[in-house]
Amino acid sequence: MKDLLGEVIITGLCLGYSLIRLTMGLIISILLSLAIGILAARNKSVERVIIPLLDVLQSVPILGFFPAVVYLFIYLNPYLGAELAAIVLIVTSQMWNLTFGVYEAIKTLPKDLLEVSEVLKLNLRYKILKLYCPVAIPKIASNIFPSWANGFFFLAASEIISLGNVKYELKGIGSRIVRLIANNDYMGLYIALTFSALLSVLLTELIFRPLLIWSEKYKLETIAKPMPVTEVWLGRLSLRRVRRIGRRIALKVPSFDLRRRVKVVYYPKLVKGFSSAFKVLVPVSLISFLMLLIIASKDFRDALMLLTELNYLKYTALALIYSTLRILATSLLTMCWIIPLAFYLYFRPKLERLTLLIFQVLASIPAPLFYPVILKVFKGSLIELGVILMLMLASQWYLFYNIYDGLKRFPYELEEVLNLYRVKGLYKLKVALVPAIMPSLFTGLVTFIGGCWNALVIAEELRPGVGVNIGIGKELISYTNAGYLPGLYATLLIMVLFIMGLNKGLWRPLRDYIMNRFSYEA
Amino acid sequence: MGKVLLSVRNVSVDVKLGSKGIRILDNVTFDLREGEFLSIIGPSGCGKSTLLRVVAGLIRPSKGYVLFNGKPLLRPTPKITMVFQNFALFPWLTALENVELALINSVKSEELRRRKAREALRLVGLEGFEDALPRELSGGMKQRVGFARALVSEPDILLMDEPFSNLDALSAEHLRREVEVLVKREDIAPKAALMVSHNVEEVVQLSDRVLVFSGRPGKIIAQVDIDLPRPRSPRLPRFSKYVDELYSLLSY
Repeated sequence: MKDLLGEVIITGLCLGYSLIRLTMGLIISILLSLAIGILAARNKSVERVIIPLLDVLQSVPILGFFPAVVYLFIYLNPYLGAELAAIVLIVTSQMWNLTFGVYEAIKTLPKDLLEVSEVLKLNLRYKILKLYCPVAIPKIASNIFPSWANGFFFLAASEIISLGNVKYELKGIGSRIVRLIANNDYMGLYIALTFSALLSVLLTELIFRPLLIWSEKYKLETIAKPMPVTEVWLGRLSLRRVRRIGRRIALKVPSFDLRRRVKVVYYPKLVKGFSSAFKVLVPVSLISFLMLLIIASKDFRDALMLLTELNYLKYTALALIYSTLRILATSLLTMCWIIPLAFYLYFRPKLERLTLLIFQVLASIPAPLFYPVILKVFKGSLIELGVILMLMLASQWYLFYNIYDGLKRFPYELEEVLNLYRVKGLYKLKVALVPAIMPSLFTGLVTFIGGCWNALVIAEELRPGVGVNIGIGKELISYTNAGYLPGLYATLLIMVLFIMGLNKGLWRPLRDYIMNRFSYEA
Repeated sequence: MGKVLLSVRNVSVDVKLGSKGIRILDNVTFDLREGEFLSIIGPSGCGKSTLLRVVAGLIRPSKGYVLFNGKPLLRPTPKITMVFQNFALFPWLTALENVELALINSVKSEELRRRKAREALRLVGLEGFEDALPRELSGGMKQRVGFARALVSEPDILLMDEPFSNLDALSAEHLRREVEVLVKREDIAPKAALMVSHNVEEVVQLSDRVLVFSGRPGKIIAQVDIDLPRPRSPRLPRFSKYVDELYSLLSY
């Protein structure tokens, strides 16, 4: 009995530590997302650099950030540094979808609202507080769900930092679960699992969901809904609210005093100067940073040497092919069940609350908890299926939330047309709903695949030495464990180049086609 | 005057706003007769559009009922169609496919559907634009597709929800004249038309009869018969007299 009590107290403490880290991570993620998203959406030169960079960064496995956090934080101060490093790693698993959300919200801001603020020469602070932040709120509120879950899922990887002979294990629920599994302590595991599930339920019901409902107020309707049913009144009210913001902006004009006006007039010049400086500064600083790294760090020089070795290249190319095939298979399998599920829920809105709650709990189970089960079920050559399952568990929620959100944004007026002409069943899917989800299916798929690249390192090697024979994730882990930095850098570089190629060669053209063909803006 | 096609009896509509119920239409009763162009005019938020949706069978009234051809109207029927304020076209379907959508349930043969849709597009002056996507069309052309979709199933009643309000003045003027001719043509015209609008001139130009609504909750406060020969010119003094009369009724 005393043991159980002790167990409960320790688990609670660990959960508390992790909760603080995750919360700090989320707050930092949101602030960074706002800053980067606003900047990228409003400044063309920043956009050109940041967006492709984010595309790549969201696919870089958490291990890829290990060397950076180890050098930056842990060498500087082992105690505080390790804590900061863990928070940084958590941020890398939480922020990308948030940033893209903010970027998209501001990028799709109605022209008239932007023009109003241009014409009135509003200062930057006012624009950020009264225009950009409010329109980003709904996107942030809905993206908190997958972000939080992903942070939890990768928690163990954030709390245990191990790079060669540098090894840090922070107190937290993630690291605790890993230890409990290693000790075969099932009672402890049950307690830990119950606690984290409970935490997910509480957070979802008490914070995330109320936040989501509150954020509805800030939704801009692209198409006004003329219908007098409940949701629509809310829609109308929100539109009114946005107009009110516009009016408030307008009312501010006469009160501008001279001093302020002068400042405001110079603002465009400042922006112009900033953006042209940015155009030159970023490439120059990137190149010089790389040069510096190459000159200063032996590891980087060795990495470059490695990239000229034929055997290494052959091996890595093969690993890349294997991993790509696994991700492809995972994508197809996931779509097979996530899309029907999203449609099912769309037609049964009463189930929404309960289902989202269940999903949030499931999505928040830390990855190491799945290892024993997967290793038991998928033995021998079946391990490939285990990898696919792990990838699915890690990233499927991105796909689900995106598609579901896309369905919910189906314009009410078009729904009315379907009702009026009694278009139902398969025909309704074919003519209306499937085309309607194409943009969000695409966004979801890209994020999903990014998440899969990310998750390769937890899927391809489940326990030290146990996993698939070859794969890019496996390769990265073995270099990390061995502390062989040149290998890690070189392989990451190849992976990044491959992902950039995919983005430019495949996703960009596909995106242009889909956004052009299936968007509502006419 | 023709026989009664549609009867609206004591219709009230309540909506929930938060936890409170709000009445937006209050005890509305009127008839729509064959050959009649009836308009509803009133301040914003008086429930005009809601009433149109009740008549379309899209919304069930909280109280009262609607009779169509003497039978209760409980759900949408192909005999009553509607033109929407924001066009409500599917952006990924071509003009032709958007029109065909209206025939999916009533016409089984795909070929016949296509032929009828082409004919409807020709009728509204969009011959040659069958394969254009809505985004490639101007506002006026989009609403023409909207009219083609509403007319293709040869409805008895054509409902129009502020059909010209999202067009520029010139396109609106053009389309209005064509609609004036279209709805009075013996061969293809619907038997009756019901339009919601807040544009007084437009209502005087098109309607045989006008119902004036009060602000929320919407109630009929006056009825005006427009007795002018067609085609109507806004320059006629009698035209302006009707306009003034409606304006003064609306200002209550």
